Parts: sequence; structure tokens; C-alpha cells
Amino acid sequence: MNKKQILSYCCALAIYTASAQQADSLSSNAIDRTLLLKEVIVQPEKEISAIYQEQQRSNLQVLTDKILESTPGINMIRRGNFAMEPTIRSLNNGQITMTIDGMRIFGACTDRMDPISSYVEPNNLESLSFDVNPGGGSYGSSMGGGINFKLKSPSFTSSKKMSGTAGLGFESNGQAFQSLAGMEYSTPNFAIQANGIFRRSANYTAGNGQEISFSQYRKWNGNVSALFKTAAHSYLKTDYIQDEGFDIGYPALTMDVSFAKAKIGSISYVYFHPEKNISWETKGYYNYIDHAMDDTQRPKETVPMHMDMPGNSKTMGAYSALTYQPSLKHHIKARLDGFNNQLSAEMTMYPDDGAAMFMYTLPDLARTDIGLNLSDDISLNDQFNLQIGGRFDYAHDYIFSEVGKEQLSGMFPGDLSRNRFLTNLNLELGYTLSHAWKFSAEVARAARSSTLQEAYSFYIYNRLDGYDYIGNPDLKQEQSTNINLSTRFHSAHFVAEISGFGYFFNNYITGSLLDGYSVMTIGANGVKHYVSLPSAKLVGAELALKWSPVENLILTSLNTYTRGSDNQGNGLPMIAPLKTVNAVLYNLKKVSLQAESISYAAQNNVNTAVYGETSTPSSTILNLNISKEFKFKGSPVLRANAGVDNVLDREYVQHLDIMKIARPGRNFLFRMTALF
Amino acid sequence: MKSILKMKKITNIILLLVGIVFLAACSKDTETTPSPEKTKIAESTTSSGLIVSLYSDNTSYLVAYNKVYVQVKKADGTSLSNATVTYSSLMDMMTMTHSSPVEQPIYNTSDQLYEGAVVFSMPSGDMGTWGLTVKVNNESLVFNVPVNSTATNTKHTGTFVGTDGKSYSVSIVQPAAPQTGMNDLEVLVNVKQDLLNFPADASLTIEVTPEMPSMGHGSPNNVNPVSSGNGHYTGKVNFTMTGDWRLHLKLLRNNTVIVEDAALDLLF
Repeated sequence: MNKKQILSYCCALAIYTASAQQADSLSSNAIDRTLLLKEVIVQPEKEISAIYQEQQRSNLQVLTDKILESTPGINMIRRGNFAMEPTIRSLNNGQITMTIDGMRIFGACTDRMDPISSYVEPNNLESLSFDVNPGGGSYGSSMGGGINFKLKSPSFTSSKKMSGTAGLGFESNGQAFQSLAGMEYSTPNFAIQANGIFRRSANYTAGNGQEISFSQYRKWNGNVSALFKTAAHSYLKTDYIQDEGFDIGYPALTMDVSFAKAKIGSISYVYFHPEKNISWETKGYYNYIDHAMDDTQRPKETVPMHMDMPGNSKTMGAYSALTYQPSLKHHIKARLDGFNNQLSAEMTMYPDDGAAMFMYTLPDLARTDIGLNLSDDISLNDQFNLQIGGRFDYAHDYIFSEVGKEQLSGMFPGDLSRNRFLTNLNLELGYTLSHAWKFSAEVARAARSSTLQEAYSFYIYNRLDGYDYIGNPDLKQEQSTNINLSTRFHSAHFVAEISGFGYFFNNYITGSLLDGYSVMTIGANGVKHYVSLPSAKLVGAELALKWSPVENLILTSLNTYTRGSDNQGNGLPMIAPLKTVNAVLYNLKKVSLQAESISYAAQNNVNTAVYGETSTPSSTILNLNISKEFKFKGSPVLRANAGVDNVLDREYVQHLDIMKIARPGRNFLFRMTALF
Repeated sequence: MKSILKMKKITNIILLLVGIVFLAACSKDTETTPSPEKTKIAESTTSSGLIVSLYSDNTSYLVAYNKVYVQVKKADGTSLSNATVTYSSLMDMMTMTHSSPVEQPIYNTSDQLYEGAVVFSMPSGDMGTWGLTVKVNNESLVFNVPVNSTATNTKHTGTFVGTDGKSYSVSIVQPAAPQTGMNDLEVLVNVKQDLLNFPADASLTIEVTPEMPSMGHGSPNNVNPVSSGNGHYTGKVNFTMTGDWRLHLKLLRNNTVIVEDAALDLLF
């Protein structure tokens, strides 16, 4: 191995460890081969969807939301044209974890306008790893795994090296514009990168030519990351992201966002020893999310009473993650992590006559959590491998201020702090029948505590069903037994992957009507509080096909289906119907052409009376894209792409669109990114 | 808002510090003085030479249920603890005079004050003036006390005509300083016998329903006040936010509604 190879190996290992998960589909094959000493467990659709994501990510400009949206198993809850909220197999909110480089970050908005996915941009995103497993590989207790956004890291080089990126993009619909720039400087002992992106969009136009008011946004995101080599086998890494959004419209909600600011910083120490197969990362982090909702831009007649609704979220945490391969048969991972999150949100209302009214919607809530992950991938023999994992959490919830306690004293009696111990376990058996066929079966036992919002919300209005929600500090842990069965077949030109899954819940957390409570929000239908349903279930399947009949031509089909029902057989809310994404990709020299159709079946398995949801008709849109890569002497590369989304200018909505606001109509896109 | 809260906090701390300084200053003084948060409203001397001082929890008496404190000192400055002290109030409106509900004082040894209460049912001013007669060991002193209105859009006491034809005076005793969350609720009910006599009425059942008039919503988990004697009724009231709150009090006697809606207004 020459020096360069060793270095890239080290960096790859570091990246791999940091994500503390199975090597992600987006890492190059070379890394996979180097690192995966164990058998690769069937990871449905990952490989197939990778083509997609690479295509989208190559220009560094596509919104993270769109990258997520094209990942099988992920559907986005849409409240506006910006900051959509990911769901994994229709599990959402507290049922999944979302982390940036393993860091826990919690949105500050009571209306979930700021999922943490809105704080990473493709130009600082190395990869996103998505795991449906609640056990040993996860970053927190969950029902169905989570998404970890792995940030781009600079890397040490054998000689001094400087490189940069710059890009510009324009979209016709909404006159959206984005520009980005970045640079990286590397030496054998020091490396630094800095990059930034600015985005702006006016109101978009739906398929019927109707302009959607309050769908504009404006934001910038900057990231600085540096590595300092401390010894032959160790280095320090610092990372800082600042993301600021302004004037973000949420057409589905009654208020917009005047600003959403995130400051995310971390410092980590990485020890790696390839010969001993050890990699160990210890990180400390802090993040601060500041968010303010705004109704001042809305027409007067739609605002019964002006109000200010700011909120903030502070999280301080640390983790230490170790991967160790004592032999070819074992791949051991251990991770100890902890965090403290403080949430505060308030509302001040200004009636035309009478005094201003003030209350906390999240009355100074906090959670301290300590968790331990352990997992081992065991190669039993050439055909069988076993993954065994567990996560154990101790969570302490409390109210951190006297005013918070006083306000909640009117709602819940007694001391409101709660302690919970959570256990997540998973067991996965992989079987390689032949080179072509692989099978895997997985069972998991998942548990999560209620979110702080579910436990202590103070009249938070839910736009979906039109009810004010009050928390319930005495919610039992939500638990589930998960079953997942997968098969993978591949030949020279054809790959098929299929998986079926079921989540069988106990103490499923949902809203239930509180009689005799008067609503706080003007016009709300009533007041609900969170309760635990004795049981609920979510079943589904995923099918991915890739066929390359001739060279340079690839046909793909990604299909996902989920169906949820509660203990009474009512359809659960926010469950995506059958989704099918079919694409043709043709590569000719340095030009690639892509056509895709995205279809959703109608969702009629809804219960309006219980969950306030209405059914959604089916929809299909067609997107076209052409990309070309220009190479110049030396190393500069120019990537240009042009495309049309929703070519047929269809007026459509999807089931997870809150208030069913029509999605964008035809949109011409032009993007150019230079790498030098 | 946060910064205002912070400011409030700072102001509170400063007030506390000032208070401590005051306390320290007072403790040097051998003379007993009521704790500094009480305001001296008036002072007078009886013909036998007793110095009688009136104190209030506020900077003046208000159209509300008021704690009225009296200090009785001898000429040599020592407090008199065994005097017989009674109050009576009188509103002189030129064309007529009337009284208001009064709770006779009891001596409190800890702060050496006679503590009673008076409900002033209207402000003093152009309409007339309030006279508070304090009788100490059969010597009467009449204080002309100014009575100020409470903040705009608030109503801490009111008179309501019942279905039995009688007038009921309903006053909020607690919360004196309302806060967001659960508050102790205490109301005083007096029935108007005639213009000068307002005996306490302890035989009612009361239902409380809070409401924010500017929002139209109420709050959950309130506890209806029950009689604790002498016309006082204690319960709980939950204020979910700051702002204007209206307490709808329904008075019943033997399951018959006497007053449907005795509405009193608070602001904090």
C-alpha cells in the first residue's frame, strides 16, 4: 500500500466509525470492500436508490428534502415548500431519531416546522445513512431506527492541496435561485474546509396556474470543519454549522416563520489503528436552535388575533463510539452517549381590546438521557451471519424553571419529573444461499419514551386535525415488536430486492378527545391529550428492481407500501399509500438522460372522525433531467444539468401534505457546479 | 418577552435587595414597625393619647377586599396588644350614606397589628368619600381614607341582586397576586341586610368558571370553592396564561340558583 492509499483508508475508516453504522450506500465500493470484513447483510433497495441519490447530489444543489424524498421508505410530511419532515416507513416524530454526525438535535418549533434535516445542505452532506433498526446501530431509542446526516469532512493529503467548488442554480417555478461556494485545504497534518450556500425562492405556482401564497423562503448555510493530526493514529476534528432561514412561508399553517436559526458545533477526538482494527471516536457537542413564528405577513382577515410564538432548543451532548474487529468473525461496536435537551416555547397574544396574554406552549421542558449501544456482527460460517445488538437508555424528564412548574401546576398535579429506562434489542440473521440469492430475517423489540411535547404540551394546535393538544406526563413507553424479512437476487444485468415488514405496537401514543376542555386556539375543534392505545400495527413492503438490458441503459423501479391501523381497526394518520417511482437512465459518454415518474395510489384508509384526516386521491408526475460533465485539462470539472419537474404541469397533492396544498406545477431547472 | 421576563426577574431581585436593606435598617430601630411592604395610610391620636395608624398591603385602599391593619401605640411608643378594636365603614354620598362588608380585627402578635378587612364597594371621589371608623377601647377615630379603583377592566368586588331579591356582595380574597398555573381561590360573600349591615353568608354553594373574555376560552381543573366559615369560600382556580381573566361565580342555596353569574375580573 502506498501512503496515499493508507491515508484514504484511514479517513474512510474514520468516516465509517463516525457514522457508527454499516457503511452507507453512498460510500464508494472501494470503501465497502476495504471495510466490510463481515458478510454484507441484505440492505433492501440501498444499492438501487444510490444511483438516484448520486445523480441528485452530484451538483450539490438539490434540497436535502428532495434527496430524502427519493429514498425508498422515506416519505416527507409537507407543510410548505421548505423544511419538510421525514418519515421512515410512515413512522415519524418521536418514533424515529434524526441526528447530524451522531449529534442529537431537537427542533424548536411547536408546529414541527424545523425538522433537523433542514439544517444540512447537500454541499456539506457527505452521506445520509438510514436505518430501520431500533437496536444496536441506532443513535437513540426509537421505534424504527433513524436518519443520520453524515457531514462532509476534509481529509489529510500527502502533500499540500487546495480545491474548491462553486455553483449556481435557477428554477423557473418560484424564481428560485441558489448559489454555493466551498474550499478545502489539506496537508499531511492539517485539513480545513469551508463552504456555504444561499437559497431563495418566491411563491411557487401549482399545476393549475394558481400561485401558492406564503410558500417563499430564504436561507443560508455555512459550515467550517478542520482536522488536526495529533499523532500517527489520532486526530482532532472540529465542526461548526450555522444555518439561518428567514421569511419562510408555510401555506399549510396559520403562521409563517420570520426566522429559524441553528448553530451546531462539535469537537471530536478520533483514534484509529487499522492494523489492530480499532477505531474510536469521542465527541462533545452543543447546538442551539432559535425559531420565531410570525403572522404579520398574513392578510388581516385571516388572523383573528396577532400573536408572537418564539421557541428555542438547546442540546448539549457527548458520545464515545468504538468499533473493534478482534477477528474476521466479529465486528463489535460499542457506543456510550448522553445529552441534555432544553425546550422552551411561548406565545404572547395581543387582543384588540384587553391586555396582552402570555403563556408557555412548551413550559421549559428538559430531558437528560444516557444511552449505551452494543452490537456484534458475527460471521457464523460462509453462509450465515448473525447480528445481535441492544440499546439501553435512561431518560430523566423535568421542568427546568419555576415559572414552567407553576404554569403546569394548573394542568397536572404533583412533581412532574419522570424517569424511564428503555431497552431496544435486535437480532438479525443473514443467509447467503448462493452468489445470486441472499435472505435475511430480523426481529427487534423497540421502546421509546414519549417526546417532551407528548408529555407536557400546553395547548399546541395541530393543524392536521384542528385540535389543541395537551401533554400527558404519565404516558407509558411506546413499544413495538418489529419483524423484517428481506430477499435479494442479483445477476449480471438484473437486481431485485424485496422486503416485508411489520411493526406491532403496545401503548401506541396518539391524541384522544378531552371532554369539557375549552379550546385555546380561536377556531379549534376541541382539545385532545395524548394517550396510549393498547395496540396498533403498521405493515408494509418494499420492492426495488434494477435492470440494465443494454449497456448504458438502466431501468429502475422503487415501490413502497405501508398500512397502519389502531386497536379499533381505524387507519392511523400520516401513513403514506403505495408509492412507485419508475425511472429510465441512459448514459452516453459524459451525458446522462433521466426520465422518472412518481406515482402515489389514493389513500382511503383514513378515519376522519378519530384522526381528522381525509382521504387523498392518487397522483402521478413526470420529471425529466439531462446532465453533462465537462472535464478540463488539469482537474477542473464542470457539471451542468437541466431538467423539468412535473413536465405535464399536473395539479396534485400527496397524502402527507398537511391541508392538501397543491404541490408545485411545471418547473424548469438549470444548475451548474464547478469542482476545481 | 423573554427579556422582559428577565427584566422582571432583575427588578424582583433589586426589590428583594432593597427590602433586605430596609429590614436591616429597621432591625436597628427598637421601635416596632410593620414589615416594609405595608403602607401607612393614615395616623391619628385618640383623646387619651393612643396613636392609631392604619396600614394597607397596597399603596392605598382599593375597590376590593382590603386587609386593614391597625397599630395602636401608647405615647411612649410601646404597642398596645390588648385593646378592643372594631372597624366600621361609611360611604357619604351626600344624598345617602351606606356601609360595606367589614371583618373585625384580631390582634396578630407576630407583627403587633390588629388585622381586619373591609370591602370598599366603590371608589372615593366626586361621588362621595369613605370614612373608616376605628374604635379603640370605646374611643372612636374617623379616618377619611381614599379608595382607588383597581386597574382598568378589573373588578375585584361586586354587588349582585339575587333571585331571592336580596343583594349579595361577592369579593375576591385570593389570589391577591395571581400567577399562571394553579392558584388558591378564596371569595367572600356578604348579604346586604340594610344600608349599614352586611353579614357574611356561609350557607351557599359556589361554582366557579374562569374565562378569558378576549379569547372566549376557560381553563380546566378548577375546584369549586366551599365554605370555610365566616362567608369565606376556598377552592382552586387555574389560569393557563397571563392576561384578562373573568371569574364567573354561580351562587346557589339548596340547589336553587341565587345569582347566576357573579362575574369578577382579574388582570395580571
